[in-house]
Amino acid sequence: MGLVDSVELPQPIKFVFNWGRKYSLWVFNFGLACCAIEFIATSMARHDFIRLGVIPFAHGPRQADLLVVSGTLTDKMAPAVKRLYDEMPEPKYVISFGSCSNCGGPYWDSYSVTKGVDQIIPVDVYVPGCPPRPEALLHGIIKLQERIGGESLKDRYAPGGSEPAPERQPIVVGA
Amino acid sequence: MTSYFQAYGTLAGLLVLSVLFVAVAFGANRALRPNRPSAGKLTTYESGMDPIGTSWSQTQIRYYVFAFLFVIFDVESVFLFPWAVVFTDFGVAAFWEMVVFIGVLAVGLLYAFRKGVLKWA
Amino acid sequence: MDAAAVRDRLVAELADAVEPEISYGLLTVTVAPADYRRVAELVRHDRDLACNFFDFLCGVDEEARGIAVVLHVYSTSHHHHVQVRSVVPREGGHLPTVHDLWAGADWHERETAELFGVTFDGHPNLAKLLLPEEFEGFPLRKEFALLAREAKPWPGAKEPGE
Repeated sequence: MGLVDSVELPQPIKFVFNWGRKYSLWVFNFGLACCAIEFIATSMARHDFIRLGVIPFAHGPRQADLLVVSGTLTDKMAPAVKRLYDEMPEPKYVISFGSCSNCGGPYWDSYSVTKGVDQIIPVDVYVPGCPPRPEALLHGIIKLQERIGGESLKDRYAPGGSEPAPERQPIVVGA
Repeated sequence: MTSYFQAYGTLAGLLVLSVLFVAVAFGANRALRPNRPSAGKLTTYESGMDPIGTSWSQTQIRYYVFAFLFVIFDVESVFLFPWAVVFTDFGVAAFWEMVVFIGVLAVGLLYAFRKGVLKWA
Repeated sequence: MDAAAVRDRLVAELADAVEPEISYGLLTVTVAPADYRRVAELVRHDRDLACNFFDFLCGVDEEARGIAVVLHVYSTSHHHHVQVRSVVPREGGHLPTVHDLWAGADWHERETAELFGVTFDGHPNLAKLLLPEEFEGFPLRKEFALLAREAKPWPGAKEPGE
């Protein structure tokens, strides 16, 4: 009976809802390696993503809208990421931060690394870098917010299911 | 007669309003949130791992003990404040009555101390 | 005690069982797998050696010679390091565990077991530590082929080592 994701709402209402959603992203920080340090640096005083509304560090996946996977994803950790992503309620967004989570990065040939987090969860924004500058993460968050501002939740999902729609195009920061 | 039922009328109006408030809040929530149920959303959270052990845990009794001791002595201080303002007007007896009151509560505190419940750890 | 003094002490105790070697100030004694436990106990419990601090235990793939297991310990009272090295065969290589002498050896032995295929007898829980359970093969052995390198050739201009 959710209206928002089954019906195309009129523009003013959609504008207000999207505005509320994009400026109150609760981030579930999935820090795995060195990129997690850059993520933390981005939350600190100099480059501050908290001023963009990405405020609290959600206590768990159930209170989060945004999942930022920062760092190398190993095969042993992959099921945990999948399960935590599944536990997040809709609407949820994923930022893949750093080259290890984009595509395996410098460990592309390793025996134990999953070559990119998009092998297991759908990604909305890729932030390349090793590690990316904090400004790159800010750019990624802003681009994500711009996309959320113009999005229609109905087009986000494949009809009838909770899986994302196949023609969803991710954003690559810097491209 | 009308003024007799007026109070009930106000109460009824308040009741209707509160029911309406809750209904509108929850109804709006239902209508305006995306509804995409999946099996993954119902799993137990344990940092992505399979949950082990039960979800019951024991609480330390010391929190309860300190809480009710606090309440008792807080109520005592509530009695102390007005007494402190006016007791000089009532002569020495007022002073000794309060001494008795505090003394009874102090005996209770001494009992708690001797029983060892005032130790935190 | 400096490295030479430790070496002399070990040779005095164990004679032919150890082959000492000092390189860059660090003493490494090579022992046969049968003597490994005895040497480890000596290095732990002896009053002059007293190596109570466990640094690491790892494997080294030495191709034809076998797989060497290196145990590095340190004495916090005498301030000296000792490395005990033992070479086991590639197939079916096993060594006694030292986790009861140094608790830190527990996880290091698990890691060496899963990455090199060396078994540690007497270890309470030799389950996979870093690799997923269904992983097959021993990745740190030289003959282990990396799937990604097979699928996609090295994209750089130079091979590593050139």
